Amino acid sequence: MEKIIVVLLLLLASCDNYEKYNSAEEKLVVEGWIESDGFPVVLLTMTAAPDIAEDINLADYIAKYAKVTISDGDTTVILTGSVDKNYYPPVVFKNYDMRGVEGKEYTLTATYEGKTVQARTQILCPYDIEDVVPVSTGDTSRILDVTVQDNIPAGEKIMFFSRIWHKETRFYPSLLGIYETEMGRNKYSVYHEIKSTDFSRGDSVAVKLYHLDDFQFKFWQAYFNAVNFGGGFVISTDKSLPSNIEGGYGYFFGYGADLWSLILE
Amino acid sequence: MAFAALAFLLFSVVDANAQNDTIIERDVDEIVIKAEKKHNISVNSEGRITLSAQQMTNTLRVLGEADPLKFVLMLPGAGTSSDYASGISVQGCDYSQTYIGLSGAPVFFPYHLFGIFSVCNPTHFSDVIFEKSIHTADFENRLGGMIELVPRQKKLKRLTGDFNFGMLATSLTMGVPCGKKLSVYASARVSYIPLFYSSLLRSGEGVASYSFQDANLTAVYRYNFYNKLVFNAFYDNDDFGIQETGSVALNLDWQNYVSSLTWEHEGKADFKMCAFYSGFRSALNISMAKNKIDVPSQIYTSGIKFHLSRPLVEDRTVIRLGGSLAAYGLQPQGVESDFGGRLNPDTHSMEHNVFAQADHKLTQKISIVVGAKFSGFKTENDYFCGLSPVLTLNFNALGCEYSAHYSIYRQYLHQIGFSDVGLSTNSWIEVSKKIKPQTSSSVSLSCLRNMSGGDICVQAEAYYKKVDSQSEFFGNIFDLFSKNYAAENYIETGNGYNAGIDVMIKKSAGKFYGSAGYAFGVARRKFQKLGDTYLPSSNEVLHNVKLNLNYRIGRKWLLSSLFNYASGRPVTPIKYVYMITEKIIAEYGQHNSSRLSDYHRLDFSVSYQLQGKKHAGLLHTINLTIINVYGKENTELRYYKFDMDVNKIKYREKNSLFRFMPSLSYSLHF
Repeated sequence: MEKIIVVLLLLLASCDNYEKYNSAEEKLVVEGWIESDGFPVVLLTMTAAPDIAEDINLADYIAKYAKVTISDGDTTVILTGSVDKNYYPPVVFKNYDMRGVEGKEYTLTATYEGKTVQARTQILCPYDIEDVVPVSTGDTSRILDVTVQDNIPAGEKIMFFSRIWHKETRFYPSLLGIYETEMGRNKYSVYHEIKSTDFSRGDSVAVKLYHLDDFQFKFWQAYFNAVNFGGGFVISTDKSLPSNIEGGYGYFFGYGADLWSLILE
Repeated sequence: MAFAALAFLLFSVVDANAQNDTIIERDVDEIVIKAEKKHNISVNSEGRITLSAQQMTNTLRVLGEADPLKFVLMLPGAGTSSDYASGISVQGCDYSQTYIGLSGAPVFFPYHLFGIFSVCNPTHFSDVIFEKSIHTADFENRLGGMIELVPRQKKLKRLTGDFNFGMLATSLTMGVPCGKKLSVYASARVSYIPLFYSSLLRSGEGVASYSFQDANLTAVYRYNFYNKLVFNAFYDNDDFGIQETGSVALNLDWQNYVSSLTWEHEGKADFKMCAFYSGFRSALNISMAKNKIDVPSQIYTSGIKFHLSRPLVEDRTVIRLGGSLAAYGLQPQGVESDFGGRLNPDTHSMEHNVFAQADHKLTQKISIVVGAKFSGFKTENDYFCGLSPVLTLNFNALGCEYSAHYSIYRQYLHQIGFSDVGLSTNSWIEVSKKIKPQTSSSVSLSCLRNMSGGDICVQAEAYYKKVDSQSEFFGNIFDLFSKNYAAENYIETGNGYNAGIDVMIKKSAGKFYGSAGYAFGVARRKFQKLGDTYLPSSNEVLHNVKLNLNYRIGRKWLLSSLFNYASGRPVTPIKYVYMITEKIIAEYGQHNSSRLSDYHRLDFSVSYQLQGKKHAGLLHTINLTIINVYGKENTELRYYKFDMDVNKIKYREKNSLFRFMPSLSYSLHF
């Protein structure tokens, strides 16, 4: 009966029950992480309702005066927001009193304009990078061959971030640089795509290896899909990113991390 | 065993027929039959539409190429979700639920240039047959419509040919008589897109290349008046590549290969037996310096079909019996790369069908079709089967012919992929314990009224289909890189329904002819993962108006126009946008709960035909087609882009390729 009514209504009225989101309530978005032996970093913004009439000015959506805290169960620290043009949006919340420790669980709480979000994460054990070699394709390259320690158990999730010092101001996730480890394999390719910047001779390049848990792995896979195919045409996606932020969007992840730097010769 | 017994029985009947029939073959002088020329479309009371492929070459063309499958799209009830779509949705069904056949063999992906036009070279075919929801018991195991490409089979007495030079491709079709009994038709087409349409290949960050070729061969051997053998072969190849700046290159190529051999016997009992082989292969290759990513998939099938029909009881009853046996091989999409993933091994399965149907004339005005098909599908681990009854009641009343139809249809193959527009990389998978056979219970009522001695007819059809075990793919491309990837784990099945009406009025004789169609349809699907509520399918087109008008001026000029209006297709709205690692991320609302703006477009063509003076057998045709005469920028996609220079998120629309687009072509028929 319900189906018949739907058909009749559509026939008669020819109207659509489109969802309208222009007045959707804004939510907090977290981009935050804490690495093993590293300090926490949190970027905080608000969601923007899509507007086909006017451009969205991101500066209007930065949660500049938010209260951000991180607790490791024993200690709670407040992260201080300051302008940092190495990131966009250029307001970053940091704290240099707390360092990430392998195995510990961290809870992030952020409050802004009456909205509070919370996220929990754990830092898994870090794995080591043993060597990094650029794959030469003439004078430039976007690919690095990374050798990791050879006793990583099969089925672990790892991910690479990379950065060219002086050309880039932060680390970017490497496209397809997300792997499930395999028995007997210790060489992986890191494709530096995000900023479309090639490695050139003389560049100082850094690679980070993160050990991910299952949810983080799922998040970054969905991220690559959204970034590369969201708004795509032939291959399209309408899948939202998963999130570990209760009451908001984005991520707060703890990583077991290792860093390797080299100068391209 | 039962299958073999049935085959034996059928052969026995045919053999008996052959002995009883008196074979008389006689050469006669030329017979002249005069009749007013009918154009393009014929339709029967069950909504079965026959399009003349040959006559299409005189009218509208896409980039210089006449395309019979595009003409199917001008009929009410047939549609696509996009100008770029590779597929035809019939009455709200998915593309993969439409059966497209060539002389008894399935064609799995009959599209060139990402669906902008099909592989169907019109000069090689005589007709295109289109059925929507009313089928007979021998219908293939699909839930939706049927499109059958019928090659030319006319007995040739002299060499014939059709040459077409367009701005996209050149084709040649030759008809060669080989003795009194054998006629051979051969066609080939090659493209040269960069020559005139290099703009189509422009890409934001790289250089694209694209080419295609297709070839058809049909050989008809008439052993005698009652028996003929028809051999068909078809091959097409598409090759698309893009070299991005830096060291990244992408290549996508796909091929169809189809062949069939059919023995047709006409007598007191008609018999047809067909052996076929058909396959489709798609390969996506990405190279990033030394790293390679290969994403192949394929489907292939071979088998036999037979069909016997014999009139009984003073020709008031026709009994139809038949069956088929087909082996399938499938390689679902997988990845072989340095980044992970694994190739899927081929899976093998068998499909069998046995059907029986009786067409019985109850009175002068009432007839009934009762039949059933038993189909089964054996995979390596499971066996699925079911009975598909067919019941059609035809009757005449108030000057109209009516058909009321009920049937259950089954489909043992699903198609999944990452593209709503039906990219060639969408791959087929067989049914399993988790992904059950698709079924539909279909009810329809069709009505046909002929006026002016059949020159004008009105055909209307109302339908309702309840569909079950519909698959929705929830994976993403990066899932393919998992070592444990299995497509089945990312598929959810749900149910739904399609309902609507199609109305068509056509005039098929005179200087002014054409058709006008209106379709209203809803196609709703319900998946637990999407909230367990009925949501529009991507193929739902609420309102669709199609007008095809032609006007012939004298014997040389033909003006044609096609207007198409469609309600905006369902899309998933963006609820929020936000930024992660300096990239715009969209948070989506309810699946398909919004719509693009309405679509409309007017195409126009003028054809000039010239008969050779010295060589009367030569017929020259020059065709000018303008796609989208008034340049409507139909939206295909909405998205948001981050402009780093001003730190603003900007709304963007991607419009259809079909803006104001003229094309010129020249054809020669001899």
